[in-house]
Amino acid sequence: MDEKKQFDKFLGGEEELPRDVPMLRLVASRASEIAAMNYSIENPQQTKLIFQKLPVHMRRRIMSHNAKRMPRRLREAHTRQMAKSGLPPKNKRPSRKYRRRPRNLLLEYNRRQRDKVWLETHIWHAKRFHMTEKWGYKIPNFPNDRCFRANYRAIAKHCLIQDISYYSCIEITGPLSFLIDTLKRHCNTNELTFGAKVYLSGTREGNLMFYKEDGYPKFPIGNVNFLWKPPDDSLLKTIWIWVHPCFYTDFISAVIASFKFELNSLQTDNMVDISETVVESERNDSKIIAKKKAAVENNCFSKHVEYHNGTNCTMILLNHRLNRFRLCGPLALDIITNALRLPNLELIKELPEQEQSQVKTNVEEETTMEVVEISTEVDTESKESSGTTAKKSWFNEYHRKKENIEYFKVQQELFDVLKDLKSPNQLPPNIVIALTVLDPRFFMPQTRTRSERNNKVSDRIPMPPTLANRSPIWESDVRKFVETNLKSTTQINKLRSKNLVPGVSNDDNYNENIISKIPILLLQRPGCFTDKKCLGFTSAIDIIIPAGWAMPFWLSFILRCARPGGLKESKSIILENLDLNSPNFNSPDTSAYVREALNTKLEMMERYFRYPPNRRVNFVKLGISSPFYCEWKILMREWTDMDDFYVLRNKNLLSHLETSISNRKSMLGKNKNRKGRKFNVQSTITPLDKTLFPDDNCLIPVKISIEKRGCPKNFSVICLPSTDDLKNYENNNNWSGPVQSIQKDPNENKRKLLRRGHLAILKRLRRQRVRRKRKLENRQNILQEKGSDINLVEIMKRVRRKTIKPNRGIIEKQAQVMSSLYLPKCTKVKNSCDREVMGYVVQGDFSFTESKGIGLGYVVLPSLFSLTDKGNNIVLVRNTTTRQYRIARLEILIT
Amino acid sequence: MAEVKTERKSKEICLKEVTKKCPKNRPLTDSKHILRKRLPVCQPKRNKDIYVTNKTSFKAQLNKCEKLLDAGEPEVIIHGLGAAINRACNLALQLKENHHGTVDLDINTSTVDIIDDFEPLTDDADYEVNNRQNSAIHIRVFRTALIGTLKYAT
Repeated sequence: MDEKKQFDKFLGGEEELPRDVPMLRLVASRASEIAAMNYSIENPQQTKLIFQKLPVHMRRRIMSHNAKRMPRRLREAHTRQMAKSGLPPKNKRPSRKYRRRPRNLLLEYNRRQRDKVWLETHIWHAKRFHMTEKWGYKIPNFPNDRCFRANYRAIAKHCLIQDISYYSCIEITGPLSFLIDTLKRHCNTNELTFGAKVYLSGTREGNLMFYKEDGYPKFPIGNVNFLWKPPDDSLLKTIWIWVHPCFYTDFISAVIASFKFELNSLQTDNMVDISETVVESERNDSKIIAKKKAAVENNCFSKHVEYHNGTNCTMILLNHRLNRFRLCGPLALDIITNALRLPNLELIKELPEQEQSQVKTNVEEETTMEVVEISTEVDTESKESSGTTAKKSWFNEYHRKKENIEYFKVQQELFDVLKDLKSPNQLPPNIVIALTVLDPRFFMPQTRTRSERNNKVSDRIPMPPTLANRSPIWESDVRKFVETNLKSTTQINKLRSKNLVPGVSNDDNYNENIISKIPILLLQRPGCFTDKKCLGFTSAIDIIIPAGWAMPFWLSFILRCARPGGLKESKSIILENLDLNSPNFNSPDTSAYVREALNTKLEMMERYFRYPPNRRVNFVKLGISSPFYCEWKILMREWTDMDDFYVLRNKNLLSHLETSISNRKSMLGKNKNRKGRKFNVQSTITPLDKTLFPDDNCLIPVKISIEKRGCPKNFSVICLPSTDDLKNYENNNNWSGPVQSIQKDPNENKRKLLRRGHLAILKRLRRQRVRRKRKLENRQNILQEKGSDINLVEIMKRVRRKTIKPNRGIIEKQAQVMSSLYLPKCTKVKNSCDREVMGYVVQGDFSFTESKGIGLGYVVLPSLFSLTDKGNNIVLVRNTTTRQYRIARLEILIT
Repeated sequence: MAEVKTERKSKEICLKEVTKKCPKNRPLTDSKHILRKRLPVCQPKRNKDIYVTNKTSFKAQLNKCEKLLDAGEPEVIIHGLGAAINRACNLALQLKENHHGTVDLDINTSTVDIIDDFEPLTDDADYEVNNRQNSAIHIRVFRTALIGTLKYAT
């Protein structure tokens, strides 16, 4: 039944099957077919990627950047393909687990702080704050929670804590009279100087403007805080000067020049030795801690710099040796007294010396190995430092002296008094209180708990007691001891875990001998004292802690519900308080101000040119000649024909100005007194005596407070009102100010032409590039046809690189020209707009205390004369981005 | 509130004073010194304590008191010191009037010790302290008719 298959011929066709097969020919042709097939498999001639060939249900998004998610058989081809398309296969980021290994983390941290300094609380802050790099430090700028008003509330009602350890401390030791005489030449001798009677005893901290040598009043450097060491037996006196990093180098060079200091080179060896031995002793312990410690110590000790001079004076830079926190607000004392505890002195005193040490060692052996280890560490340390005496902590050593015990008792009593106070302002102004406290980690609450407000009424307000300021923190040995014997939190936790009942519940029961004692200083800052604001607003306590101890203290304050703040808060405090004496505020005649101002100018210019052209404010049209920089020099030249200027700081002259201006205010009758009281000021008018002022080229610090609407911002201009303005305002109380007429921008057309030309150039260049590329491609094709293997692609790349460079230059040049056309160089300020410019607002914002816009600014003295001639203190203020002038009152700030 | 007048023995025990006290009626200004007022010793600052100032608007203070009373606080204590005594009295009386006699007043007066610091302006001068007294008033405003919280009343 099987039918034979028939072919063409038998079906009536023409094709005939051959009788024999020519084997060779057949195989040869099949072979070429197979080769072609193989070739097409190996070099697929299709546009799809391998990844795209996968059926849809097998595709995953992650495959595009992680080849391991492809099926294994396609993986190799896929990676090859990806590599071909120019994307280099990514370097694998090491796993998080690897990166977080302590050693790697530490390496990473060290790498990141190579060119700047981290505060000790840096990592804590970096998780919660926006950090900025300033003055060689990484400083917390503002918290990420964005609750800015809450910070004000904290200052006014609770407590705001700031880490201001970036202030550097400088220790100068020398004969008292020499110190005072030399330092006196750096300050205004009409006011309190370094050698004032009130400061010499060391009971109060001083704050003053530091000038270049004999530089008063024209060459100020910046405000510094200082503190004398309380008097003791030695002939040499010691002073600590706290300097803001912003003018630190200026300060140091001025001091070195006036004291004729010379750098002493042989100091660091001793220190390094100690750190090494500590590392060795801890080798049994976890290596990480040792490393960390070594890192910390290297940070601290290797930078130990000492200067000497011929008159027995020494200057030691105590950078990063002391931490300083600022607790601002009425709850500051509550928080401090809650967080800190004083050691019990009687524990030590009762026991005779030898017995005591025995008991101590017994206790240690009983409790844990840990403690023994710590004590051995103590031993090595004390041997190193003193070489002779006992194996005890500095605390016992220090309190062997009777007088020191007496000091301690006074401080203890004072500490009890502090517990009952409701605000730091109730303490005497600028008082210094020394304390020795126990390691706060043993007394931390388990969760963040608000410190209980003490409702007891205290009747005892302390006078400055003489002995309360004696502190071992002045001894460098003690500081070093405290720093090197900082137990890590792990060590403490191990100690806790070895208890019968592990945990923090029985922290109170530890023997005080194993808890470290730390000497600290509390400095009161009086805050606001004028009648205009709430009494004691922004009064604060500064706390000075030896290096290494910042974190334990910081955490214990934070756990008592202190609200952390950054640089922004410091600025807002200055504005609310109108405090020109803050080291954080630079007056325009200092070089620190110029540096800062140029920096901000650059920043703001950059931001300005990032906007598209139609979103940029045209400052020329608004009549603002320099929107990002206060041109004091030009302003001064226009008013007085003098180039240099300085800020008037003479209190008598300022108060004379103040009285002559504020009286005008009430004469005008605009200042409605809410209380309905009437002042009889008409009789006490003091006409302004212009001859009193020695120089005309002064800037006067003023406060601007907006009358109706608006809020002055930084760089806004303060203008003299015209008589029409005053009349308008008198007639219509709701009138909020004149409007600046639009000015002509001479550069507008130029810019348009330039932009058009530039676009044309760009187009031409593009066309050139395309043409060149096409030519090369053609040539390549021709060469390929000829069979030569010269790769023109490489050549093409090289050519492009060469041609693009000059093109970039063209673009950059264009950007420069355009920027100079957008913001032409400032040539005039005084007559830059409709009204005459008196000065600038340096810092302006909405004030929470006055619930209106206020500004801190400076005006030129002659302009103030013309203001008083007009008979009132009303000025006009205009922000840089608007044409609307706002009516504001001007007050002289007496610094 | 009478604790304000307790004897000041404790002060003498704990503190050794360096600055000399000055005569009682010291002139407020001086060529060598500048006056810096210190915050007076406070009474407790609980929720129900209201310290009256002359700077805050009267209406705001009144609202604050009424809010407290409406929220179910059985009593509000209004403290006024010195020049603010007048305002404290007005505030209490206004409260009484607004509540149509459902609140009553309990008035206490006291004397508060106040310390003024005189900050020196020249190198050779020292800090000086002026202790003075000022009168204060503490008015307890309490409900006579005890009604519950008015929180949900419309």
